[in-house]
Amino acid sequence: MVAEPARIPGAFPSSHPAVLFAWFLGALTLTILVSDPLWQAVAFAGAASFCLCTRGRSGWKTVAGMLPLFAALALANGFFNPRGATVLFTYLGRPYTLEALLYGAQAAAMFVSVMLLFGSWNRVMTADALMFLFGSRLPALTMVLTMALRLVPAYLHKARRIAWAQAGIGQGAGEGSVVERVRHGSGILGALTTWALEAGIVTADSMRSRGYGSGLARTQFAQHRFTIRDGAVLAAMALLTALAFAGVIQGAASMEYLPRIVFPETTAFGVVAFLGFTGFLFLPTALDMKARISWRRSLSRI
Amino acid sequence: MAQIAFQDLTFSYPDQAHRALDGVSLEIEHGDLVCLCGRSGSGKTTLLRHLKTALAPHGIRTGKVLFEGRPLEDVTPEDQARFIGFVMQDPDAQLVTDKVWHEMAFGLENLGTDPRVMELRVVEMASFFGIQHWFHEGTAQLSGGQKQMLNLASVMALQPSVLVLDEPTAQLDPIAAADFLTTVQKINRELGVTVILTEHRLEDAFAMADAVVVMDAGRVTASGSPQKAARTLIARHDPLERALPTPIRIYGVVKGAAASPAQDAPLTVREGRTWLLAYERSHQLPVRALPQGALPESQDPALSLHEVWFRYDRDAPDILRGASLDVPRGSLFALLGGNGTGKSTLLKVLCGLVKPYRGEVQVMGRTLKKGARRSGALEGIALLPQDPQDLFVKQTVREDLLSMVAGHGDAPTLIQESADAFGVVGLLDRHPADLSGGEAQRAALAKVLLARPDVLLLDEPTKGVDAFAKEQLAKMLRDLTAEGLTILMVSHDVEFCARVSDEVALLFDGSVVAVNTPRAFFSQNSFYTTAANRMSRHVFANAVTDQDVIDLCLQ
Repeated sequence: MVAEPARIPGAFPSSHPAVLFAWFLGALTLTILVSDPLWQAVAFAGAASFCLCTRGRSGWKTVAGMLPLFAALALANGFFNPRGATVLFTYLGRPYTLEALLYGAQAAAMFVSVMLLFGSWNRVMTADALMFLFGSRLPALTMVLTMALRLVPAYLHKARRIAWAQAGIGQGAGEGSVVERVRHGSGILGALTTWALEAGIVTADSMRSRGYGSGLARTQFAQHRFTIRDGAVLAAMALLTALAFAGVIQGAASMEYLPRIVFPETTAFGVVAFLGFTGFLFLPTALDMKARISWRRSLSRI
Repeated sequence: MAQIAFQDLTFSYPDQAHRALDGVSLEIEHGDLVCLCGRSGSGKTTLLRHLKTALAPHGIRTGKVLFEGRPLEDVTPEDQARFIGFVMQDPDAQLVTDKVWHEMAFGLENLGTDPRVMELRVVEMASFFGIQHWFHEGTAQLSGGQKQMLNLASVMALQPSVLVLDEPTAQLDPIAAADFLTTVQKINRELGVTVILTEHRLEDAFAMADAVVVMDAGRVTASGSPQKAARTLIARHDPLERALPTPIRIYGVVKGAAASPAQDAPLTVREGRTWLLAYERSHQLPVRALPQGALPESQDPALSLHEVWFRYDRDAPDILRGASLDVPRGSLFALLGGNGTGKSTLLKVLCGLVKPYRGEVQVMGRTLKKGARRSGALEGIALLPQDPQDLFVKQTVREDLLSMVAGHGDAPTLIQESADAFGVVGLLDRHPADLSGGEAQRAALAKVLLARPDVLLLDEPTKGVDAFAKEQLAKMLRDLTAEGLTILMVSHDVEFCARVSDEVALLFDGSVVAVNTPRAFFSQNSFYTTAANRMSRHVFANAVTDQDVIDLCLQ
């Protein structure tokens, strides 16, 4: 049995937020730019395997859920887009073409790959990680976000408490006639507002009392350290993206669908770029595998 | 030179005729632990807030506050943030961020501390406070005690030289409160930080203080060593006398305060035991035991639980595990228990807010229907929640009371009567949020009882309430049961339960154990019992309240 993936020491999600962010940025841009089916298949596989790395077993469900979505999106395009040379069949006097179907498949592939990437994004790029990355540039915004993250659960908790209290004296939001229910419900909302304002004053006092707004430049708690390993991973990622982007610019990853399908020419450079692209998308998976193997090995020594 | 000096400080709030502070002069030395006490509204908080320019209230002020010999206004906000730490009452609202580590770093971030220094400071304080196990948790998941400990740790990360604590334990249960105060004492003793502390519960704070300052109506009316202050309070029959630690209170009343030398007055239970043993040897005390009393035969209980099992979720653990309980009509039943034993859940079951999956609940002989979507209020049960503020939904106390009797022909008379009974006539036109802990408690009681319940449920009624208000509450509860109301109270407050209740039981691990009369219940326990009992059990049997011990001494 493999433990919760994020807990494995040295796994990709435990990297410095800058590394994680750079990978997402690269993966999203490249996924959007490629249109060759082979490249797209790699993009999808890379996104899916990353999803499995970050979410463990529950990731399979997410990946499997993408397949019907892909099919629906791919098939739908043919009904809206009559262009294309090869007519498969006609409906209501309109042609349904092979080119439009494949073009739809291409767009759908891009869409589901991006969805998968975002599916793992919030597992890895937590609010903490984002604030760590951008906090020093946007201190006010970061502060608001931090406070919002505290206040939302606090408000929910208090709302529940007030609702219980009202129900305990027969004035709950679910009791009485419709008019009474509305009255009870708005009473609870009003009480919550009063409480929120009162609590806000205390929070503001607590902030000023600890020097918030004293005019000094804020610094940030160093939650993450940028290690040599992070540097090495970032360098490898830079090299691989450079190759992949060069391929994209050269046209090795683009394919024309409409009005007729034109495959890109296979060149030696195209192959190298493709390998770079594959390497980039599977880098997190590779690092995870490596970490898992060494984790199991060290476990067996404990 | 004193570290902090108030020089003839007078202050009044705008639009208020009386002075909130009236010529306060006070000096606090480096490294002192000063306990500031007084009733609600005596000016304690106003005084403490003058120790920080950012928190000082707006109004008319004369006199001076000096910090390290300099007027406080001349100390920069950064230095005030760094050197004067401030912890307030509300554990929740003081938190700013969503993560424990971030909360601890918050002050240091504000002051632009170098990240390497910051890391060391935060980590060091986390270790000192034993926070390392929940360092990465979200602040929403913490208990009240942990939150307040975090507030203290976050302030301590700035390495202040003065720590100002404004009723820091008022919202905590007694165990968390004792933990908190022990930590404060450790900070004072081991780090030499000056501490100024206000407290409702003087039992622990009094014994650890170097000096006690008593305030009333904005003036300092007594100050000096704890023994000296206690003697003054007892001698002048100050209402605050009730809040004193049990040993010194019993000592003072028994010896006749004015006549006794102050130095050997006992502050702790240990000192109290020694003193009582000596007292027993030198006095003739023929009666050494009080009757335990017997439980009344309960034929037709007002409230009855039979084998009640409850869990919040199919896969969650059981919170109530076969709880059974009978509360006789017209009695005051106290259910004691620590955190997480299911006290609040039991109350929710009783007023029909949640349904048990097994077992039966009867109220006044009627069975609460399973699955029926109706709250207990319709069945003659009303609940006063832990935070009385949760009950108020209107802009004034009067409107809130009116909402309970809407549609009733004679609503104004009903409200006037209930306001008279609970002493809230003067509060009727105030906003509920502006009431003090004790005032809110009384107004909430008035509101709840306008629902005309047969059974009143109280959840921690003494939380955040000062000794004087507690005294009033005790009397009101006794009057209500005398009129035939049945009261079930869940509480941590051993002293209060011993004083007011007819029957006491312990809730442990989701079931009710050891139902007994207060005297029998507390005299059998050695830890879960009152200070008076712990102090006197080697001399007297079954003495559980201060008054019991005083009566036995003065026989």
